[in-house]
Amino acid sequence: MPPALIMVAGALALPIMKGRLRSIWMMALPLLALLTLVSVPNGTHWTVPFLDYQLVFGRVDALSRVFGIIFCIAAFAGSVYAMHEEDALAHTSAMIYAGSAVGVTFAGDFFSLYIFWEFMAVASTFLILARRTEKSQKAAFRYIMIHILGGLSLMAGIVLQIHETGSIALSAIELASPASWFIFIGVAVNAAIYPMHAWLKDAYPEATVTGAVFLSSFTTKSAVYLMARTFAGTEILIPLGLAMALIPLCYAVIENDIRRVLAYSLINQVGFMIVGIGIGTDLALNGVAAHAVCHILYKSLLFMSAGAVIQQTGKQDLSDLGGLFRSMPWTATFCIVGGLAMSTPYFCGFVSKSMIISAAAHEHLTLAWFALQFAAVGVFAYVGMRVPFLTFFHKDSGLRPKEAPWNMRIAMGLTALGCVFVGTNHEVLYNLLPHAADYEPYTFAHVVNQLQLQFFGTLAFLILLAKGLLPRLEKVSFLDTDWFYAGAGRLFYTVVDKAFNGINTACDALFVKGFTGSVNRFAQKAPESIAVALMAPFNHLLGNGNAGQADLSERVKQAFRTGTVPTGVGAFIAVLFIFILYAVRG
Amino acid sequence: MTTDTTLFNSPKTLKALIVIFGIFLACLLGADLLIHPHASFTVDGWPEFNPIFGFLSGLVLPVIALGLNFLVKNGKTTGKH
Repeated sequence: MPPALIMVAGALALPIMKGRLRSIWMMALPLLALLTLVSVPNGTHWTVPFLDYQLVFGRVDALSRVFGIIFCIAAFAGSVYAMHEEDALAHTSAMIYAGSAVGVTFAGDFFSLYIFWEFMAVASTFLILARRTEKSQKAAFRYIMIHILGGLSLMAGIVLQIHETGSIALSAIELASPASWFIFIGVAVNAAIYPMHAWLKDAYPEATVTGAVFLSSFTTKSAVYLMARTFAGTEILIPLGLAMALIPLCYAVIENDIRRVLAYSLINQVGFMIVGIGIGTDLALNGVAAHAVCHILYKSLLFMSAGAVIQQTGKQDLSDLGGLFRSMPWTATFCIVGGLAMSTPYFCGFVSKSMIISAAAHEHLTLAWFALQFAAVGVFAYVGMRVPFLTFFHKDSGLRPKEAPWNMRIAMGLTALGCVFVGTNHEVLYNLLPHAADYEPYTFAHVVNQLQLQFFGTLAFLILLAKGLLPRLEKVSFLDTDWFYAGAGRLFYTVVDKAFNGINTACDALFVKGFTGSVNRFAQKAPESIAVALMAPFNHLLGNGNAGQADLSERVKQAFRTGTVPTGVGAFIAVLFIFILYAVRG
Repeated sequence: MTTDTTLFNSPKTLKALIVIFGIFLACLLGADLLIHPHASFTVDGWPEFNPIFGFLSGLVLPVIALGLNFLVKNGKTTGKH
């Protein structure tokens, strides 16, 4: 059975389970999927005939395997983290979401890819809705609207692609035809490529505490996988990735909401991966796959610790937090590990991010290299160091919450161990990479240079903090590119509202009130008016004059209103009509 | 609001941490002398390029963010959940 179906079908049993059984089943599903995917050899598996095509649910190669493995591990860690919750909706949607991400990873054709892609969008929306607040409902609505638009673009591209090539096989695409652009935009939405990134910082902070952990792992990374599969070496991705790495980083510095800071840094790190895909060399693509693995580990660890803080304190603004190390020492330790794992030696980010930066250097992409180094320093100092510092140290907020539940601590501990394990045993990760890895991160020069960059950046942060020169954290929202499409949406709504309602009103006035009213009036008045008009000449011939005419008119109208038309008058009118008809027909 | 003094917020510990951090940074500066530079571009082979680049990056980023803050700050406050 395909790993994705194990998770998706297994998730459907979660609502009928309760308590510990549900938790065990939820943890078992990703482990079963993991066991399945490591036991199958590379090649094509689980094919199903559909119309004239073959659906492929298991295209297993090095690239899909490495993403599939980390997705299963992330789903397992997320399940442990969510054990204390008794929310069937959140659990079921989380597992369907994770399973669909695995499905996307192993899809060998566009049809099955699209099915899992849409499953992901819908299931992840429920992770936001599951928080059950007004803000989360609105955020979920915006989230699903953006993903529906992205999904429509992907569908349009797939249809055109199949029409052009006659094949549904999922393979590398050159960004040239309209089909390829539609597919590119559809994938770019999920990858949060600038400027289509704002949904991420909008939705993730509004999700449930456990939902945000799942969200941080799957949507963007499955899009990164698909981008690497289809658009590797597409040069436009380099500037787009650099924009992702740099601009959201500035927002992360001024943002107050702890999970929004992490959301912006998530976009920043995906930017590194997008640059790597754009470079497209073996080293760069290895770096993309490796960094996706490491980023899932340390970012989910940071989201877990942020979630633990939010759950235990009820606060999610950094300005409300501080001094929590006293009562939450485990969470503080895991959060620091998550921060260090971004790029410090002996943690996972060090062995992956530097591959992408080195790939830029190998290709003599000077500007990209400087921008990536700048972004790496910035995200380490202003997210990796600043978030744990402001949350757990710095000023004492006076809050003394209980330490996070045991299952949350175990999940964070396992993920932190993963960060250290990959950082200290990088060859395990490198052996899984899609291309032969000829890269050694642990040279004296590289270790020293990276430490110099990261910790002198941190020194600058600490000096500015001590001098009170950092941007003040305020409880305000910031305009991002969503302002443009939210504005465009409002404009569209206004235009459509005015235009269509205007047409509607005009049609009502013209056809409903005007035309039908005239017809109605005509139908009511016509018989008597015609009768009077026809009888008038004869009345004049009889010499009844104007007074007689008025009298005749009144009598005929009265007769029509009361339904008492004299037989003679009726017969006269009928004869006249027949005469006129014959005259007209000739 | 309750405040208490523990290992990580006692003045002694903080002073010790600052001293350790300072020594660590000094060692990093010194280590640059032991590295044979493998410059991918011209400037990254200059002595102490990485500490300077790191420090300047750490200074420049909040300045840019401060400018952005004025441009993109919305009047709306973030509501309670």
